[in-house]
Amino acid sequence: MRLFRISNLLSLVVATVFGVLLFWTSQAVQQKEQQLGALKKNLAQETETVRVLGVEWDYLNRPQRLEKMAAEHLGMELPSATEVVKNVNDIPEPPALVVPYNEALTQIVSTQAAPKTAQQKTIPMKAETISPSKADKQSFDKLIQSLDGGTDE
Amino acid sequence: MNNFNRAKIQVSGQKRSVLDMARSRLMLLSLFFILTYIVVAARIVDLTIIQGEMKKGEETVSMLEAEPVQKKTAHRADILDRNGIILARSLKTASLYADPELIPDKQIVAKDLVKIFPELTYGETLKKLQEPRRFVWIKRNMTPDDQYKILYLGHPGLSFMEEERRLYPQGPLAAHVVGFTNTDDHGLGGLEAGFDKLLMESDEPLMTTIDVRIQHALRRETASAIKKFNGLAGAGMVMNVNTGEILAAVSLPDFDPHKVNDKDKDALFNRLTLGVFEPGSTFKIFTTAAVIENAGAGMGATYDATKPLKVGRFTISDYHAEKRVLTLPEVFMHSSNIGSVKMAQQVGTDQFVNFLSDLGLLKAPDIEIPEVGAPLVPKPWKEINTMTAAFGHGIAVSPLQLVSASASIMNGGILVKPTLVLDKTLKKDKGNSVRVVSEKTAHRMRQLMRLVVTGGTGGKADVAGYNVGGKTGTAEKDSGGRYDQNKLRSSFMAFFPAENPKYAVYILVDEPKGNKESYGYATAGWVAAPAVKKVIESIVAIEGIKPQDSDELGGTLDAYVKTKEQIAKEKQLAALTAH
Repeated sequence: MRLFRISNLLSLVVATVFGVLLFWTSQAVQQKEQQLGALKKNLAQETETVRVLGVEWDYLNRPQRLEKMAAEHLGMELPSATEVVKNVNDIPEPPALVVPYNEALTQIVSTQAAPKTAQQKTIPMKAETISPSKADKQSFDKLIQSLDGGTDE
Repeated sequence: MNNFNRAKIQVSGQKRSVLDMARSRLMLLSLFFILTYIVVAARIVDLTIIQGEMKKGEETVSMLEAEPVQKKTAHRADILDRNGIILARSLKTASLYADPELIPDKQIVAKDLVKIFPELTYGETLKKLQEPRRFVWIKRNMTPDDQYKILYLGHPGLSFMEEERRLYPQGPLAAHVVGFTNTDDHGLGGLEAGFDKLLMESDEPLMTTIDVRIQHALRRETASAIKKFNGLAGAGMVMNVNTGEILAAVSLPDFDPHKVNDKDKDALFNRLTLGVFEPGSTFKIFTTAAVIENAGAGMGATYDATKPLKVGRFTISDYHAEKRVLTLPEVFMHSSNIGSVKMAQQVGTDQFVNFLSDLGLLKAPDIEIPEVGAPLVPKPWKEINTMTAAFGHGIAVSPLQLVSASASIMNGGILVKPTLVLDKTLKKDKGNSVRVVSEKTAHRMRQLMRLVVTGGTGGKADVAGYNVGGKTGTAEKDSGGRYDQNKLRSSFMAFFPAENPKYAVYILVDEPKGNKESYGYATAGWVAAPAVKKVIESIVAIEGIKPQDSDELGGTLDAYVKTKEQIAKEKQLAALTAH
């Protein structure tokens, strides 16, 4: 009789433990599923954003736009075949073009008396520049809006 | 409490039967449960062991482990250039609309909207929100970022309509190659139409052979040549002569694939693949190759070009008339029509037609876009057709055919299959290649093409260090059954480096007009050759090709070309003997 009761009690305890375990597991799974769903949604959103940014990047890097911007802001022009250098040693010593900000400041302050040498070192900007057409300056948002003609209704 | 104690139950007939009934009911109930459990147990055995064993072949994954069916990222796959630059991509765009009846505080909503979209004005937005309707557009096609901001506001009455839009970040740059789609997202031109089904089904991007940088250089130079010489239209192509990959393909005027105007047929027309024209002198590449390959003509072969040829009511004369006996290289370099006709006659009509057919010039070429023009070939082909075809008249082919056929000769004699799709698995299959001319003929043709640039009509295409070879083509346009001397089609077909060409560059300008700079000339040497030179210079910079120290082919045929002094001396001698 006694033995019987102990085994009863034991099985009750075991059943309770398993029940709790099962409940806990199922809750954990549900939680993980929710997390997974949220992550997936997030991922989809991020993927779409990356896709949009990819298009924007390539839109802003159109060769014709880059070419005009390089001409306008950097005074660059198309290379000719005669400028292709075969030997690395043929490249002339580059003039000091990029000066760190702090150094540039101290230079301006210290060489105000004799600024001529500093001036000679920078590359002269090209006076004549091609100004980009309206289409070249068009931003990406404008492009997206213009897809539907941009009209209301 | 102890109502059910047996000791207290009075044994009587009635009570006993009640107890018996209860007991038998209990028995029945427990039997029922036992049976149910047996059924459940049997079902478990069935599911886990019997059916489980039998279905071992099939994949059994739990719902949790199962990957959800991957949703396609977009309705339509991307089209990329050979370096992965996006040429076409579908994007989800959202359009914002409002239901004014559901918006309680219109001023606040209007204020918030203006904060997100600075281009909207407060007054107009508020006016829209106060309209007594249930649907007003606030903003069409916005980026996901803006959409998120709106959602974050959480105002009622603001909703989105999501659509997918096809975007072409390069704009008109490669419009004819890439094509365009209609509002239902179906391809209507170019690769969009050629691979319509594949683009709809697949998620893998379609990688083309186009390089946007070279494409831009070609478009820029073709456009500037058209502008400079006030031409009507133009076309251009850059091809890898060994693989047939088209690196750039331009047809001008072109169009913006975002806003296609169906009525503008001229802009939508692909002059490169759909248009067929009388090619003019560029066709002499094939005549000359045929005479070297099939008639065994050497560089010393001579052709009398003293007098124009009369055939029926036609007179065939030379544009740059030399009026003397010319050697084969001289015929090619001065682009003599008379000499070319005599070459074709030397080959013979049958052989000449077969040769052109082998090069793929007599049937529509095979390319991945639907805009393909079939050549106009005279039927039946008579002797006179051989004579006119010898200098590129009386037969009309597309520039694509012209470039592929001459590339087939210049690459060493292997037939080129033009392609717009970059196939990385494609290996050079030697067994599959078709030889059209021998390597020896190919070498001769390279020498001849180089000669045209060093000493002939194509001088303006030379790029020092890159040994350009080429052939000019100036065809008079047919206007009302007559050839019009003032309406030309000037083209230049170039290859470089000449000793082992890798690139073919072709530019055609339709109806250029001579200007001061060209001394009134509108011929290929003045119009197309300089443009080709600039394209080659750009390709060199883009691809990083080293200049060469030597010019192997330059001057190799000089022995067959008479100098001015020699010609003058001969004339003097002839005059003396005549007296």
